[in-house]
Amino acid sequence: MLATLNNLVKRYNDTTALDHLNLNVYEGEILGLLGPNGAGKTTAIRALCGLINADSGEITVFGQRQNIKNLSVRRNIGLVTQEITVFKELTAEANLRYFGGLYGLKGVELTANVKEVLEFVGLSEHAKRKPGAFSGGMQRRLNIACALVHRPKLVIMDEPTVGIDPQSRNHILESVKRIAQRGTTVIYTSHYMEEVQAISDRIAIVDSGRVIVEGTLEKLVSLIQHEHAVYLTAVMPSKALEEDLKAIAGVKSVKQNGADYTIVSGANSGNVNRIMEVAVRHGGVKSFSEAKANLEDVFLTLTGKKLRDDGKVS
Amino acid sequence: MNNFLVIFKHYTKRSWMDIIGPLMFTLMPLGIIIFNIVASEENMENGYNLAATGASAVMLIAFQFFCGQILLHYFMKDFRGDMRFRLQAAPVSGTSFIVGAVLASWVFSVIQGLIIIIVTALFFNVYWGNPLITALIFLIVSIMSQLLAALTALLSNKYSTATAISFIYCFGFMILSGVMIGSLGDNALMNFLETRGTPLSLAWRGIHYSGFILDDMNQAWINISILAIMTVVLAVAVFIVAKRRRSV
Ligand SMILES: Nc1ncnc2c1ncn2[C@@H]1O[C@H](COP(=O)(O)OP(=O)(O)OP(=O)(O)O)[C@@H](O)[C@H]1O
Ligand SMILES: [Mg+2]
Repeated sequence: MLATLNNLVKRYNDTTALDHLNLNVYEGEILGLLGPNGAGKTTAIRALCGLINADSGEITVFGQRQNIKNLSVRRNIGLVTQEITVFKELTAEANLRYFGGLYGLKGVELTANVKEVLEFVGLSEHAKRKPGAFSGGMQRRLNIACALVHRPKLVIMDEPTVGIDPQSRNHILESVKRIAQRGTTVIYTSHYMEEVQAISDRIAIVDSGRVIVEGTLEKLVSLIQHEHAVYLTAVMPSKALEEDLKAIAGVKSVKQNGADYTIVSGANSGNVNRIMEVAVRHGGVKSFSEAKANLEDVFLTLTGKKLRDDGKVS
Repeated sequence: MNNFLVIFKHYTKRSWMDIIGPLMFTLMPLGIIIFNIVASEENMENGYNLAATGASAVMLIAFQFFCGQILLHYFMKDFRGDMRFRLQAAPVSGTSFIVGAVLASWVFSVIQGLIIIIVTALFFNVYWGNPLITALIFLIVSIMSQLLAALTALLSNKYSTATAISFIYCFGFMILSGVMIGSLGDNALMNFLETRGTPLSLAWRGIHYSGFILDDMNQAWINISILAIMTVVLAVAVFIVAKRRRSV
């Protein structure tokens, strides 16, 4: 076990950001943390990095107790912050040299690491440029590089792909896999289901300050194997249709997105006919399909929360 | 130690890279001194220009306090925004960051001050009093202004609050010392403020006590002592507040 978060509680005034959160991190894995806005992902990460003290509970990293005073344990952790935190007035290289320096690197080692990490994120040609002039994707890549320059054993990425083009995004996802291949443990937080699904060895779903479920994708999906999803596109979408679908016995959730409806109901409930009936009564169906449960369905079932149009969790 | 040098170099680099800072904090006081020379009649004594001499001591000290804004700027940017999470994730204590940034900003302001002293002495016939006393006062004030800026930064959560506080005390010292808009009145309180009531009045008068202008070495040493005590108290305050904040 590389890290454990045990019964963490963190309150901000009347918000409970972490509510007895438990999480294990195993050596060498990519652990995906998935959760809606305000679930407590960033708070958990900050506690894990020793940036804030929890009100109760304890954290162990590399066999040491983590807290805001423990400096030595930080040497082996790399944090990719949710916001882009690089110095806009310094070149990419100067940023990396500074952050490397803070971790005690110097001389040839620092120079070598900086060169390597620039190559790793594909910014070698832009080493002497200032990130103020970078595209969003390049800034994100530099933001990641700054957390890798000291070659940490544990890399924690808090939504590293927010607001960037698909190409940069793929580049980043590929890099995460390559980091893990070198034996580095990665904790990867995201709003994007497909990202988490694509790269994680294990996934933890966080909601309202706690880990609702953790395990491999297969394990999570098997948890809701008794669920069954139907997708249909209505000719005349309406709120009334949604309400009537919800009223069908055995239907657990209905999600409307424009004309598209996702209906999750218990498997073997024989609901397909009834769903069709209701839809026809409300103006008919343009298309219709069924699917096996995926991470999205797991999420919907366990948290009762919808996905956003763009695949984000809301 | 290695950490400290890394941080010191980092803030030194940033404060000198931003060309507006160096220009503003040297050219502005020099401009004001020149304006004073032009605006007042020729007033020479012992071969020194008295109008320039008066303005220079005041400007040197006043701009030391303004120089504290450089520290404030970087501190608020780096430790009140998202950057602080990246910095605090590093194996570096908060104290190292504070000491590194304060020293870098202090060196910057000392150099600014030295430029003012040298330029005015060479070109404007300014009399700088007893070199030892002036150097001491200059040094104490430069440290005090950094500590004051550090305290302001530590106590503020927002950039705008910090800047506002710093402008208030910078201009406050000048107004209360009667050097900006003239004397505020002839009563015991105002007289006290103009002579010993603010660090600015203590410092610039201390410099003038040390030479032929006010010519009273004892008074100069009294002012130095008060300034030194203020600085020590401030240093303790900064230390206490810095410790507190870390645990929040
Ligand atoms: N410093 C703070 N002061 C007050 N409330 C906070 C603070 N930090 C977090 N919270 C609250 O704690 C809860 C958890 O926030 P957190 O940032 O950990 O969520 P998150 O899962 O990272 O969300 P997002 O996906 O938006 O980044 C939220 O309700 C948030 O408003
Ligand atoms: Mg977050």
